[in-house]
Amino acid sequence: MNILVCIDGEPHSKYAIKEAIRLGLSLQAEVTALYVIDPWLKKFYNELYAQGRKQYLKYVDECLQAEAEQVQSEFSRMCRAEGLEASFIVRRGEPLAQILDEVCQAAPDLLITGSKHLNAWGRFRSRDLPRQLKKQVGGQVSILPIQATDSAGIDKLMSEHDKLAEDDWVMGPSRRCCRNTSTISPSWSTARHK
Amino acid sequence: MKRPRYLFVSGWGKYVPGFLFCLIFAFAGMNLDRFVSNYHKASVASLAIPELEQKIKEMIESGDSEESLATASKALEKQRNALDKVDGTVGQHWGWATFLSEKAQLKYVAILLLGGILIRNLLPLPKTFIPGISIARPIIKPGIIILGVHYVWADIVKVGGVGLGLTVVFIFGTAILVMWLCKKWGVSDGLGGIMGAGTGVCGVSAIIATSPVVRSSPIEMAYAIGTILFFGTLMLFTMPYIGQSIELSEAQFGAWSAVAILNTAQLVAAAEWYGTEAMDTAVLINVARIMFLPLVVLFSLWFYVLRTGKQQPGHEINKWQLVKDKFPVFILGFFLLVLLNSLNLESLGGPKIEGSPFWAMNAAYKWFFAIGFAGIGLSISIDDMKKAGGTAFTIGMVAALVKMVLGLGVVLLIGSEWLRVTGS
Repeated sequence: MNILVCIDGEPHSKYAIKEAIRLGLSLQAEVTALYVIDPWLKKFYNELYAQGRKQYLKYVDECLQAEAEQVQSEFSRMCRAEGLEASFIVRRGEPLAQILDEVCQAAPDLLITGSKHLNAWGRFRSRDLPRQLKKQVGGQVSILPIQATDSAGIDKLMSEHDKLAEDDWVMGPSRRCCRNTSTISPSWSTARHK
Repeated sequence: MKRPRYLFVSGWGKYVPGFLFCLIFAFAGMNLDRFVSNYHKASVASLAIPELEQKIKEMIESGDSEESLATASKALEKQRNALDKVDGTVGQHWGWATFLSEKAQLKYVAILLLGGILIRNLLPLPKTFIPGISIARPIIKPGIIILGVHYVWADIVKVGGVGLGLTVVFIFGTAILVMWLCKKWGVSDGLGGIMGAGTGVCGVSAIIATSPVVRSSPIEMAYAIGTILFFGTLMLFTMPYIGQSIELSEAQFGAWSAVAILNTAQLVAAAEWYGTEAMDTAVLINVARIMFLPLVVLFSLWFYVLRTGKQQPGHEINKWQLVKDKFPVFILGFFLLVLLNSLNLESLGGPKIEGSPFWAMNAAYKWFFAIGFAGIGLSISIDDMKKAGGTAFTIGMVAALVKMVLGLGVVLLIGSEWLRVTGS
């Protein structure tokens, strides 16, 4: 079984990593972390009225690379602490497109993302990647958005669905289960059929 | 055969589709503007022709001088031409054109900006267009250089002098005040530095120039750029209507937009939208404003790095090189044209002398602006502005509001005369 965890270095990403490690160990799954370097800032280099475009691009590249390395080191530290061997992939580009591309290439059984509880304004401003991913590949892969408050909920979910491991995560539409509470919103969409 | 070096930008092909799209969009916008304007002028002519005919009749009866008669006949001819352009007849009226041109102020700037925003955010614009659109934006720069033919040194001294005063107070003042307040309120150096430069000098351009100096993080830069784009766009679409409602003269509006609007592209667009005179004043003050960019970056370096001893050992900063790197070289072209226009050379003519090189350049500047505005409109993505947030949003909002209110007060006090570009 393959688990792909999408991380971005934000606090809620850490909960996603924790859950990925926990599931990786309990299900003896192969865990891969995906970090996408978003070059959004680079597109503004043409706005510069002075010289120094190259300096700006170099600086942005250095910053983004440093952030990626920091996230990788944090991920490796967390994995080592739990005794899990995991891989780390870095991609560059628009995050949603890159995650979708990775999902197509690596065909993971479970996709874990960090998630935040958002109010209406927050939802307007946010890219809301978990929702977008669910919309795009929800029918092919299980998506598990993790919030900071989810640990307890996931324990419950796991105990309720112990059979999941036995079934190698293959669920048909009839066995689809969703959780809808005010603070916990992980939803197991239909699993990818192998 | 070997390809000549430096003649081709590597990967130039990726810029072609988007740039062509901007050209076509600019062409369509300019022609739509002309179409509406022609019908509006015909509407005006339809009412003016009978009055002029009556006036000429009275002049003949009262035995007025031939000179006055010739002037009136010329005016009548002009109105008849305007009506002929749309194959109209006296008595016909095109209310929609008058509404769009006068009330809605639907000029090419608005068509390209609003149309661009709608296309970018509502239609599935192919991603292959994005690189070409991004290189269309800076086409405004050659437009600004060409605008040099609108000025003579007397304008630079008069309006530029007033502009320099306004710039020192508003631009440098904002930058220093924002940086100082950010420091006092515990905002990180990376964010305080770019917000000071961004709200003070020339928006996104200043953020980009300052960020490597104050070592801003990507998230701080994203917040700052999103905020500047958001308030710049908001001011672009609100200030011309505010100016019109309080009957601000074109020269006053030009100065107001130059001191208040946070981003350069948006300020040029707002001023051009308001009128040619507004744009002449705005561009001149803006030139003074962007000349301050190297000094603001230098100030940021001193304020955040040198003063606090945060300079990394072994990384000596060459201050002269920093000033040179951040200097907007293209404004030298602008000043060269001002100089040539002031010399009144016969071979170059002037912007109003038909058929002369300067006349041709004056006719071309709107096309450079149109392509640039098409690029700006098509680049304004709501997703980019959604990045605005956090402390940067509060800083941007306060700076924008304060500059808008104080700037308006100051230009009202100065009056139009000191802010008007004469070009002669």
